[in-house]
Amino acid sequence: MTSYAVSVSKFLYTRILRWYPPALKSEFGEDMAEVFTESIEASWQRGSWNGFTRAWLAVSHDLISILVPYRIACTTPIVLAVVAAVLSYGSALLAIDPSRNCHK
Amino acid sequence: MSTESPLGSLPDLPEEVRAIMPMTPAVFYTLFALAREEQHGYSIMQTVHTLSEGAVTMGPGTLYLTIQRLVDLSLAEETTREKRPAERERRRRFYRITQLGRRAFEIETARMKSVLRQVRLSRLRPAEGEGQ
Repeated sequence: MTSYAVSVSKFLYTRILRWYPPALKSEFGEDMAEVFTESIEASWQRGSWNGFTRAWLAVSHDLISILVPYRIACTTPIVLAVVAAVLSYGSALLAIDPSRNCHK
Repeated sequence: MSTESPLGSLPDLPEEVRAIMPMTPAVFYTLFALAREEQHGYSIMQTVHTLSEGAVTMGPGTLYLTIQRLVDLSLAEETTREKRPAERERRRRFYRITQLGRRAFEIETARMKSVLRQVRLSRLRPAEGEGQ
């Protein structure tokens, strides 16, 4: 294992950290980065690819269990607003009686 | 699902704490780790991995969400840093279990013991001493 892998991991994690919920990031962002760095560095010092992989698997689990639901929750109101707008526009179109505009 | 414990209907626990019982593995093992001694985040993560025999591996996000939840419920609290000798130790945030946290942990372990007893009584698994 090279220290290059450690540096890249740290860099990637700081990027990923941006996507966490702001409340969690502002309160614990630095601690989270430090915990991840310690896990990766400890694995590197032991020469343990298992530990290295485990640290990244744990981050993947975080992504699935925290980030995905959070991002869905963030986008749901927007999606619902768009759907509501489309439905109301559609119902308004359907409410127009075409025969009223038909002058024969 | 009923949240009744083998120790009764959890009368001395606040409603919010009763709501998290039975505990998730992350909450249970974090409390377990803190019940042993006060620890910082990385140490909690390592202890949880060891105590669960590798079954529970928490990422930093899950770890700090769990800690935040425990602190919000007054099951754990942050400790002061002034006493720490090393600079790195002073920068870290340490956490310890509260009296309420210890009580919730005891109730949860009693519930688990009750489950194990029922499993043994149901002969779903050999009782201790059998098969030797």
